[in-house]
This record gives sequence, structure tokens and C-alpha cells, in this order.
Amino acid sequence: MRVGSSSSLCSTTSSENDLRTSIGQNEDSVKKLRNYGKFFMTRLVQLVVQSRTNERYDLTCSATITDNWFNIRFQELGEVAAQLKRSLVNYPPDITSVTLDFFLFTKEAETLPLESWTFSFDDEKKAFEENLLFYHDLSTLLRSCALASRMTPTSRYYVKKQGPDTFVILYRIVEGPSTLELGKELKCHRVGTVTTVHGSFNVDLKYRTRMELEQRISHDSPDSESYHQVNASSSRPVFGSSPDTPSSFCEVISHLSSSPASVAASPHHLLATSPPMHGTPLLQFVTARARSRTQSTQSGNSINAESPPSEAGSSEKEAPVRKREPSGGMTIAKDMPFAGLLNMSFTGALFPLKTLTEEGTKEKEAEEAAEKEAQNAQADATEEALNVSLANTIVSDQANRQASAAASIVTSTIKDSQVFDEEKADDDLETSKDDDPEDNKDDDDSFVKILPFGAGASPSSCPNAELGELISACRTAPPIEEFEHYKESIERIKLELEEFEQSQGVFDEFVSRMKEETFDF
Amino acid sequence: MNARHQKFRLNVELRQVKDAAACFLHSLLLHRCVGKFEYSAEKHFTLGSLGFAEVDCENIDLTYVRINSDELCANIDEHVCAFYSDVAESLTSHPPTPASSPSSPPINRFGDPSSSSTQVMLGLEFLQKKKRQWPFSEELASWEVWNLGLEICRTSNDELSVMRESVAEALGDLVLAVCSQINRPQYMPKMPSKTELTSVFDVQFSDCQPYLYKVVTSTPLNRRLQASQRPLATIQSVIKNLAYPT
Repeated sequence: MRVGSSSSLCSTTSSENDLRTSIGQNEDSVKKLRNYGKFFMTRLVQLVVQSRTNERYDLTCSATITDNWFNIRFQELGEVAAQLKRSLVNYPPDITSVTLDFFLFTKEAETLPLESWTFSFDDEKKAFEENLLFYHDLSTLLRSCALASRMTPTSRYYVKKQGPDTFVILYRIVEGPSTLELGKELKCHRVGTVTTVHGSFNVDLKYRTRMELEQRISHDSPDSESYHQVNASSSRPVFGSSPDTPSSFCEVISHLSSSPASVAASPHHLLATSPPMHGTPLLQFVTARARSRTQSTQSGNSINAESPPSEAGSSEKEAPVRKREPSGGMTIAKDMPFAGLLNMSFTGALFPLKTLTEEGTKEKEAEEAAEKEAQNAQADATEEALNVSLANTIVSDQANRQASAAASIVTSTIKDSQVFDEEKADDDLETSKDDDPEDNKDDDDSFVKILPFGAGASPSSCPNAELGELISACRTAPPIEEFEHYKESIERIKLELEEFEQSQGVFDEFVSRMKEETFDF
Repeated sequence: MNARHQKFRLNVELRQVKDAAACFLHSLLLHRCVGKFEYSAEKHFTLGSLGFAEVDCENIDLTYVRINSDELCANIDEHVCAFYSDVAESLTSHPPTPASSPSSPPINRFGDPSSSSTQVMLGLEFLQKKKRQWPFSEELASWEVWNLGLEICRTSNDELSVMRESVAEALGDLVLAVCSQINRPQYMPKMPSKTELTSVFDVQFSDCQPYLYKVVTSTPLNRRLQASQRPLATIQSVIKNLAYPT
């Protein structure tokens, strides 16, 4: 019995050991899976984002370097790595999927979703046996992604033609599946699948093939989120905002140092050089309306983060009224790269775009022609009145008038908290009313609630704003032309030096005496 | 062993043949290449790292990625140049019959025998050496075959500028299809031991190791040459069988 019991005990023990071993192996394989998934995701994002830059990718093979993940050399962009850390906490297989989206961002601050890369883990599709080439298969899949990223229309048409005067490509990284609307003729590709006993990793690619910009026009709905409305008969497709606006935009790293704000603040140019396709107008921009620089700038700052406007559809009316609802809440995520370069208030809220009519646009065209003459004269005077949300590069007359109107918006909304110079506020309001009555109505409906730093705070209008006073005092301080009494100060310094030389001997004696006393002690 | 066969078709202009062929071959080798093996024991090894380089096509509006190994690139370029010269010579001796519109290059599988335009074929086979009993030498068996059928036409410069874009789109779709086909659960040769390395991989390059491969071409020129050499090849095989009966 003892033998039997011992043998049964031994068999039980061995089976327990086998179970522990298998559990341990399972844990190891799960740990390896997580590790591979994380590093694959990071490498995937790096490779694909770098393929969207306008920089040549060139790394040689190396037989001696053996510590690269998936045996692939690549250059890691710190900006992208930082954005990854900000955007993602978990990676597949801990989460179901992660999506990398790309957008086209024009100089008129309009976005067009281009393509979407999804890396996902499917725990239902499992392999029957362990995949011994799992690591190798992931390496192959990564190479496929590097190659496939250059085969899409985005890469062929837009990557090398990015510029501060035309458009830039933005990307975002989000958890979850792709939610981008890529048009009716979108194409979907499964780039690859790597199967393991725990599940399978998949990389899916969706991209837009029809680069026409669609818009939904809706005049009646007060909650309309459309940016523009154009004449349907003009057959000029207008850029519409996408419903899938990112929570955080990241400008693809490129030689361009300009941020979307500065892109929008640059002198207004019609997009004469849209992606030059040989006879195929793939991308059509709005050319019907010229915008004011301020308008452009405001829209340039307006990277919609929280309340994505709906995607454009067919036009309904012919009246070319451009309207942007204040409720369309434009914000910029604080974790966005170069967020500080983008001009926005501390809360990230931007002033809404103003309603423009055809007459207003014509007036603004005339004003733009005159703004060049009055640039330098007006810039300093109205700089204080400029809201922080407006680009600092704006020095146009038009911008300053808009800024003063904006300042009036600010002053009107913070009446409860501050005492204003009513005369000046009234003058500003009157001016703004005279210039553009419709804008004033929109100003009353603005949702700005926080006074930006130093804006609208002049000594006369806000006597209680000590900080604003200090700023204005500093700005208006007279220039220092010369140092007064400098001759006297030099002579005094010379006298002091002579006294020091005379006293130096006494000082040295004192120091030596102190030292002797110290040693004696 | 049954090899996997994948076939594609592309309409190109003569001046685009080099770009299309190079893109096709390099795209495949990008996936079927590993870093240089370094064995520490019979079955323990480490792999070197692969680098990529972007390549802009000259006559197609496309940029692709290839393994950045000078030796491998030289080897492939040699095949591409030889293929292009065969094609050019074939077209010179027998001008093609325009059968399809230059502006609409299709990408589909082979199987259109009724087409009368000049068709050439470029293939890449991946091989594995298998030992046989003495006195027979090793056998090269292919485990994967990729074929690209090119329908070649000649056009003016204006039409070429149109074809740059259309061929780029078709070639891009072709490469995406290649990626989808490659990244599937399918048979792949196992990682070999030190002694079996040359049976699976091509070790002639110093910084990378592609799987054993062979570039196969079929042009009107080499088809005629093969046909003329057929009787000689038949006699050779008869003599060989007589000398070494099985």
C-alpha cells in the first residue's frame, strides 16, 4: 500500500509539476505575447509615421547589430515616441485594438481623413500549435507595413508635396477600432495576420481613394456643425469637417517647422498647387471665397478636438453663407505636441469663426489689400487688444480690427468680474458694430468665459487689473538712451578700489592672525 | 512538394518595365530576407539587422522600399537589366500589337490567352535544396513562386505621363496584394541548423541573407532561343540517361 501510495503520490506530484510547468510556460508565452505586441505597435507607428514625412528613409543592413527588435533597423523619432506614451497606456493583446489615423490639414484649417491603420488582437482565432516562427512572422509583417505605407494614395499624392503654403499631414493614435469616414470608395486591406495559440495579431489598412471633399450644408439646424455652405450649382466641392476629428492632432515630423497655426497665419494664397495629378483633380479646395487673414488664422487655430462636426454631405441650398456655430467647441488637447506654439487660450478654447456673407467677404478682400499698407503702424497699437487665441504673427489691419472686436467680446463677457472703461468698451463695440453688425451678434453668443492672459487689459479700461497695468507700463516705458551719471559712478568705483587696496594689508594681517589663533586652539 | 503559386498582371509601357520589375522583385525580397546568421552553436544563432531604403521609380509615380544591401541590389539590378534588354530586343524584332488602352492597366491573374499583345513574364521562385541519394546531386525544389505578367506597349511621351499615375496605382495595388498574400499562416522553411544553412538561404551576401531564390523570365526572345535549343537539349538528356540509367 505504501508503495502504491507512494507511487500514486509520485504520479500526483509529477502531474502537479507538469501542470505548474505548463502554467509557467503559458505565463511566459503570454508575457512574451504582450511584449511583442507592445514593441510591434511602437515600431509600426514609427515606421508608418516616418513614411509620411518628407524625409528619405535610408538605413543600411548590418550583420553585427543584433539587438534591434524584429531584426529591423529604424530611426526612432522622439516626438512620435512621446506621443505614443501620451496616447496609449495599454497595447494589444491587453486591449483589442489601436488605430493610427492620418489626416490632411490644409492651410485653411480644414481636415480630410485619409487613411487608418488598425493593429488588433483577436483572441478567437487561435493556432492549433505553437508558432515557432512567431517573432519572424512579426518581423515580416512589420516590413509589409513599411512597404504598404508607401503604396497608398496618401503617400503617392501628398507626402512629398507637403508645404506650409498647401497642406500638412497629421496623425493621431487612439485606442479602439477605426472610426474614420473615408468616403464611399474606400479600400480595405488586411496587411497581414500572425497567429499564435493565444490569438492572432492583425494589421488592417483602410484608405480613401476619392479625394473629393464633401460637405453637409444645413442652414436650419442650430446645432449645425458644418463649416461652410456653398452654392450647390457652383460645382465646387467645399471642404467639410469630418465627424471623426481627432482628440489630439500631431503634425507629422517633417522639414517644415511651421505648425498649423503658423501655416494658417501665413499670407493667404489660393491653393494653386494642389496635388498635381496628371489630369485627375483628386483634391479640390474651396476657391469661391477669399477669407480674411484673421478668419484664416482663427480657423488655423481651430483644431477641433471635442465636438467634431459632422461629415459633409450633399448641399441643400444655394445661399453661400458660411457659418460656424459657437457650440462647435474648438479645442486643442493640451497633450498635443507643439501645443504651446499654437495660439490658444489657457483653457484651449478658441473663439468661434464668424459668420461671413458674400458682402462681408468682398469687404474683407478690399481690406486685405489695404492691410499691407497699414501693417507696421497698427501692429503695436493694437497688440494689447489682441486675444491670445489669435496668432501672434498677425499684424494686418484687418486682424487688428477683428482683434478689437474680439476684445470687446471678452470685455462684454466679464462685466461681472471687472470694471471697464465703459467709454472705450462702448467705442470698441460701436466700431465693431459699424464694421460688421452680424459679427457682433455672433460675439454676443460667444462662449468665451475666461479672460486670456494680458488681453484686453489696458490701464484705462481695467484699473483693477494690476498685472495688465504692469504689462502696459512696461511696454510703454521710454527707451533707455543712455545711463545717467555714469561718470560719477565710475569715479566712485575707482575710489572704492583705492580704499580696498589700502585696506587689503590690514585685512591680510587679520586673516593671518585668525589663522594663528585657530592653530593654537 | 507543392509550391505556392501567385500570379499577377500589369500593363506597362516599355520605359516602365525596369521600374515595375525592380519594384516587384525588391518587394518580394524585402519579405523573404533575414539578417545575417551568426551561429554560436549548431542550432543556436543570432541574426543581424536589416535596413531599408526608399527608391523612387523613374517612370512611375511610386516610391517603394527595398532591403538596403548593395550586393543584393546589384544582383537584382543585373537580373532586371537583362530582363529589360530581352524585352526591348523582343519588341524591336517583333513590335507589339496594341491590345489594351494605356490608361487602364488592369491587374488580374493570368489566363487571357486570346490577348495578342506582347506579353512577357517575370518570376521569382524561392527554393530549398533537398539532398538525394548518391549519385544524384541535391535537388532544388521551389516552395513559393511569384509570377508577374507584363503586357507591354509603346506610347508617346504624353501618354506615358498619364500612365505614370495609372501604373503607379495598379502597381501599388499589386504590392498591397503581395503583402496580404505573404502575411498569412502558411508553410515556411524552418530555420536551419548551421550545416543546413545553405540549403535554405543564399549566403553569398555579406550583410543579409535572402531565402534561396531564382529569377525566371519569359520573353519572346528567350522563348525563341529555348525553342531552337530544344533538339540539342533532348539529345543531351538521352545521352545522360544512357550513361546513368536509374
